[in-house]
Amino acid sequence: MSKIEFQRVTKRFEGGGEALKDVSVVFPEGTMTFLTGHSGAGKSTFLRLLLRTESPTRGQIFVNDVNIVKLPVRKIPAYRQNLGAVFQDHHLLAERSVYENVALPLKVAGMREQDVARRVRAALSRVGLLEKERLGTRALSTGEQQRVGIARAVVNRPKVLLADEPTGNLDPDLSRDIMTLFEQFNQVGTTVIVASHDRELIDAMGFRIVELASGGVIRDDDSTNLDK
Amino acid sequence: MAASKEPWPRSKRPIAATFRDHVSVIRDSVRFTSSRFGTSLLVWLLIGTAMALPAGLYLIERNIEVISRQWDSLNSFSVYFEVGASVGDINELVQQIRNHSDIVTVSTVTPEEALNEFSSYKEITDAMTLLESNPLPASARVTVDDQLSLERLSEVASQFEAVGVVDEIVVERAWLQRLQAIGEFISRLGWVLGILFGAGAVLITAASVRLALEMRLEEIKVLKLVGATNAFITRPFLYSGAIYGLGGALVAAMVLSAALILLEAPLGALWSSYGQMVNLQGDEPAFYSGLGLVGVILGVIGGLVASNQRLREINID
Repeated sequence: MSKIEFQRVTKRFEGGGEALKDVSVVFPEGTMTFLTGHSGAGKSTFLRLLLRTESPTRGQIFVNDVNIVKLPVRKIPAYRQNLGAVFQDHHLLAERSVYENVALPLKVAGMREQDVARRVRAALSRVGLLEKERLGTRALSTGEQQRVGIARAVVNRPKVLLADEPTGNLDPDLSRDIMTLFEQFNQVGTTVIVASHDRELIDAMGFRIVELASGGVIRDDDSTNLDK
Repeated sequence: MAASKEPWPRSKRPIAATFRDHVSVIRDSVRFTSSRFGTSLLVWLLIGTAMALPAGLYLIERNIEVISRQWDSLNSFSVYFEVGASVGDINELVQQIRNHSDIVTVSTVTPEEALNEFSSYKEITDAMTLLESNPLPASARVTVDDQLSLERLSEVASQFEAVGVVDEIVVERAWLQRLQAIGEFISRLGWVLGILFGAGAVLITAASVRLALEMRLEEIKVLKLVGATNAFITRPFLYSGAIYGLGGALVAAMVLSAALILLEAPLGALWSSYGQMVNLQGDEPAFYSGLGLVGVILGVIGGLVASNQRLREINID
C-alpha cells in the first residue's frame, strides 16, 4: 500500500498559466479518491505529476515516503512499474491483441511467460474479457477497450491506480461498471485516484472527493487538506 | 521525510527472460523489415553501395601488397639480348653475370622457348602463325640477393647494359615501387572514403530507423507509461539497424564478389605474362565476416543515433 502526499505543489507551463497552484493534499494508503473539477481545473496535470511525466515547478510529491520530484531519471521506469494508469483514450496498441496489450507491463518487468499468461488471464477475467483475449483491440467496443486498459493497469498488481477520465466516452451504465471495478481494486488495498468531471456518478459512489478549480483545491472531503 | 530507501528497486530480469526477449525482438525486427521489403531493399542497396567502395579499395590495396611481396622475393631484373645475337656471345655474358658476387641465379630463355611460351596464349596463337621468322630475342632472368637495395640492383644491372649483345635491361622493382606507392595512396583513400561512406551508412540507417520509430510512436509512449526503460524501448530499433547494416554488407559482398570474378581472368593473363601466378585476395570467409560485422556495427550505431535522439524528444501525455 502507498500513501501519496502533495506538499505545496505548483505547476506552471511555459507560455501558459498555472495548472496547479500551491496544492497540498494527502491520500492515505488504501483509500479511493475522486479528483473532480471542470475542464482545465488541473486534474490531468495532477495525475501526470504523479506519473512523473511532468515535474512540478515548485513543491514536493511523496509516494511511499519517497520524494518522486527528486527521483533520478534512471529510476523513473521502476517507479512507473509500480503504478497502474488508465486513460480516457485508452492508449492501447491497435496492432496488438487484447492479450498482448495486457501483457505489456509484465513483459517490461521481465516476467516468465507462464506467469505472464496466468496474470493476464486473471486480469482479463476480472474485467470480463477473457473470451476476447485473441481479438485485436479495434474489434472491441469503447467500453471493452476501456476495460482492456484497466486490465493492463492492474495486471502488475500496482499499489497505486490512477485513472484520468476513465468514463469520459461511456454511457452511464458502463461508467458505473467501470467505477465498480475501481472500487473492487480499492477493496484489496490499492490506493485509487480517479479524475472525473462526472459529478453525478462520483457523488453516487460515496468516496472522498477532492475538487479542483483554476489549479487550486476548493473542496476536500478530508477537511485537513483544504487550502488555507 | 527521508528519500534514502529504495522502494522501487529495478526488477531483476532472469537471463533466460532476457534471452527470450532478444529472440522475440529479433523476430519482430525481421518481420518489420521484411513487411516493408521495398523500402528495406532500397536501404540495403544504399548501404551496400556506401560500403562497397571503401571495401573494394581495401581489397585493391591488399592485392597490391600481396603482389609486391611476391615480386619482392624474386628481387630480379631481366636482360633482353639483341635479336640475332650469337649463342656463344650470349653464353659468355651469362657466365659473366653468374660470376658477379651479388647475383644468385641466372636462367636463360632462348628465342625458341620464348616463342613457344607466347604461342601457348590462345589469343595470339593465330597471329604467331603468320610470322615468317621468330621476332623474339633471347633473354635472361637474373635474381640477386634478397637484401639488395633498389639502387644497388640498378647499379648491378647497369654494369651489363653497355655490353654489345644486350638490347635492354628491365628492372621490375622500379614499377613495383610505383605500384606500392599507388597501393599506399589507395590505402589512404580507402580510409578517407571508409570514414565518409561509413558515416553515410550510419545516416542512412538512422533515417530508416527514425522512420520505423515514428511508425511506432504510440507504442513507445505506452511502453514508457508502463515503466519500460530506454534500453528496452530502443532494443527493436537497434536490431532493425543491425538488419539494415547486415543487408547492406551482403549487397556490398555480392558487388565485390562479382567484381573479383570479372577481374580474375584478365588479371591472371596479365600476371602470367610476367611469369607470376595470380591469386586474388578477398574471396575468403574472414573478409566477408569482417564486412558483415562492420555492417552490423554501422547499423547499430545508426539505430542508436536515431533512437537516442528521438526518445529525448518524445513527450508522453
